[in-house]
Amino acid sequence: MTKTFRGGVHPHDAKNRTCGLAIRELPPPDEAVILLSQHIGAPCAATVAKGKRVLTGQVVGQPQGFVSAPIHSSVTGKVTAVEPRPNPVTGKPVPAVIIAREGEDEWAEGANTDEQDASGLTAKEIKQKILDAGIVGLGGATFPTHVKLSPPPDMKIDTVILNAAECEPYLTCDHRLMLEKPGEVLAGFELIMRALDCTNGIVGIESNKPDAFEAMRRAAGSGAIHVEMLPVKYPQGAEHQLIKALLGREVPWHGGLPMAVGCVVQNVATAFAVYEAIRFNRPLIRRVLTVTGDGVERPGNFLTRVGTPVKTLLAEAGLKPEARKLIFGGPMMGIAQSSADTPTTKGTSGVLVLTDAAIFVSGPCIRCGRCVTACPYGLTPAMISRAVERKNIAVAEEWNVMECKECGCCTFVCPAKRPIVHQVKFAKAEIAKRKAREKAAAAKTT
Amino acid sequence: MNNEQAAPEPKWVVSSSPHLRDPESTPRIMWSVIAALTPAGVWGVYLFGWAALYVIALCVVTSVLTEAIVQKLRGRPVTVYDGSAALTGLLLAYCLPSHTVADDGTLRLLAWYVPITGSIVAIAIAKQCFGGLGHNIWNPALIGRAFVQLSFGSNVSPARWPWPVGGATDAVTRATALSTDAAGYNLGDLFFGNCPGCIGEVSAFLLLVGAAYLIAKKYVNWRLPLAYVVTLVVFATLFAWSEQPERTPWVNDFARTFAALRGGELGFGAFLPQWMIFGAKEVFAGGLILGAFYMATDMVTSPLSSKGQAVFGIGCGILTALIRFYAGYPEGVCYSILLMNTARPYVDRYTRPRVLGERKENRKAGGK
Repeated sequence: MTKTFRGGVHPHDAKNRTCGLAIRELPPPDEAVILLSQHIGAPCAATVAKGKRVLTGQVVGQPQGFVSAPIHSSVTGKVTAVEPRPNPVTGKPVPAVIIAREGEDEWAEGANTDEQDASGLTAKEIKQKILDAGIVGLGGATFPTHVKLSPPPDMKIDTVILNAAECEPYLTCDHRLMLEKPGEVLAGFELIMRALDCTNGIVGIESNKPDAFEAMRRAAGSGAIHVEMLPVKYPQGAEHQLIKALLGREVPWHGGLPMAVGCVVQNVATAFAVYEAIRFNRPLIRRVLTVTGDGVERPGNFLTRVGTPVKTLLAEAGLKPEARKLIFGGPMMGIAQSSADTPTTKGTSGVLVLTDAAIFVSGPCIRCGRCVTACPYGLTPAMISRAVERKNIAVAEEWNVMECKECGCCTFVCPAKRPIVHQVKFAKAEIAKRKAREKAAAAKTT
Repeated sequence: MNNEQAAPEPKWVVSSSPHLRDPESTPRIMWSVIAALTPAGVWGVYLFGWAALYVIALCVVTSVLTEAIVQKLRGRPVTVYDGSAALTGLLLAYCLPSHTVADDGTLRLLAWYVPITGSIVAIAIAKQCFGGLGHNIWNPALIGRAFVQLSFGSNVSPARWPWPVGGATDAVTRATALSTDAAGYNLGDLFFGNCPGCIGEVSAFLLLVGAAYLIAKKYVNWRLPLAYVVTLVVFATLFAWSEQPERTPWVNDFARTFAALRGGELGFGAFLPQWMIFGAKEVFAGGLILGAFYMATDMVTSPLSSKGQAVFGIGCGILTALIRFYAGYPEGVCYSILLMNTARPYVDRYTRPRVLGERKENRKAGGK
């Protein structure tokens, strides 16, 4: 029985542009723009001011709460400003530390050491090092890793899953990382398993990466980590779908987390970052990302510093004059950007430059039901879309709009070209506004 | 070009994810259904001559014109290119006869006001008054058909049907295959379309060929027509046994037949073919194939989920059997589908798929 999930779509893969290109390390940028909000949770507070000299790997932002992570400088240089810059995900301005690079890397004290032996570390020590290194989920959601690895004591974790699906079209950074550094990725995964006191690990890879699958299989050997191949279907790499396909378990709806069904999922790049942090005391200041799309001459998988203005990457990859759309992430869930000055963040796994920026004229919903078949969460996007069109947010809520993860499957298949994900985002914003109003009203009366 | 001389930054287009789309579109779906219906229509024209083409043309042109005019009056963009009005016209034409039989027994062309009225009612009232494409509650072609049935009854459902073969217009008339005294049609005639009936309904074979194409393209969910046909056969057998026992002798003799089967004296070979022939006649005579595969499966007026479509098909099957055996009314398929269209919002509400991670208990409470 093939392991898969209900629903899903098959967009054109487009990975052949870059899946054969080895990871190339790019030099650090001349100017690094380090946003102080690069994770889910409270933004960091700047620990440096204008004029301060900072070293590579030095903390420039301190977490302001448990669900948060420190942020480090990715270059050696001088802070030229601490000012708001637009966040590529929300578009809203967030405080940022702007650093002008001065010369080569000079690492902060204690960072970038020789290889350390990690065999004696306790789970608590591993989690502390992960927190200190500022590691967040690098699949794109950027959830602080040390928090994910700290479930409440009553939640027993029996399986840890390494998310090697990389289901978004175009992106190949995880693929190359597994192909070139499988041992390191698995070492990081083992550290994650130790942090969770769990001895059962599964790696889930889509079958469009047979070479990576083989590399990981060989590296895993016959140990506690099983490497499983999954059929290619978007969004196999979504947490809920990966757990359903590999273990047959369903994460409870209405805000349930994987730990409720005894598992934790981590991305391949996150595992690699954990390896770097524990073994070499390297904080998270660089990651592999794929620059691709028909709008660049020389696509590639680049090891880039966090905070690189994307125009530097576009110059490296050769921006074509026909380029029309600049997307951070993949084509299904990525966010279109309005400026090439936008810096990359910890969560930027891909920069997609497209020449096709077709704007679709949306038609009426013909109730064809393709969206219902495609939705991996079992929702009825047609009813949500129809409700939001009539500005009836209450009905959208009844049809479970809050369960929508905005994966884009429904919008991809809709023959009437309806902007369903956009409508969902609008509905969620309206619901958040209403809840804020209700909260304020309740606070007034008490 | 060196890196220092970077090209000026383009004006980036910003829109919501996803940034990819499947090439499927509403016009493609509508025109594909029209293409799937074409073989059956060609057969109708071959069988009934120019009269059939005249009815088809009148219906399609009137439907398209009506939609264009109403959309202009509503101040909306004219969208007749999407093929939905043309499809409604075609489906309406397929449910109409090409000729009528006058009182003195002579053959007449179907009155011009029948296709025109039907098309105008279908598009202007059943579709545009409700909000246009995607907003109608009832199948517009069937509303048009029901309207002309009520208004011009004898014109559109005569007791005897015209039977010109190969375009020859001698006024031979024969009873329709569904009436009880029509034992004269063999299964082959019914299946391939060598029998009287409405323009597009006669050739079950050609309709099924088109339907197979639509099912392969996933425009039609096979569960709906299958549920419809199977339920109809089951309930038709049941009702025929109680209402028209002469048609189902093997059921009357069921006790004896069953005893003989058990005793091994009688093979299934005697019992099954009679039942299957009965069932096949129920299925291939009349407008069932057109109704089950093209009318009931109309996307706008049928449920969204697979489960809902199966339920819808079962409902249509029961209602069609009821109308055929207890109401003795022509066009039972048409009315049963319209009745199920009315129930469709409820079917949608109670057959919505289970959300990933939703507990089964939640569904029993009728939670949304």
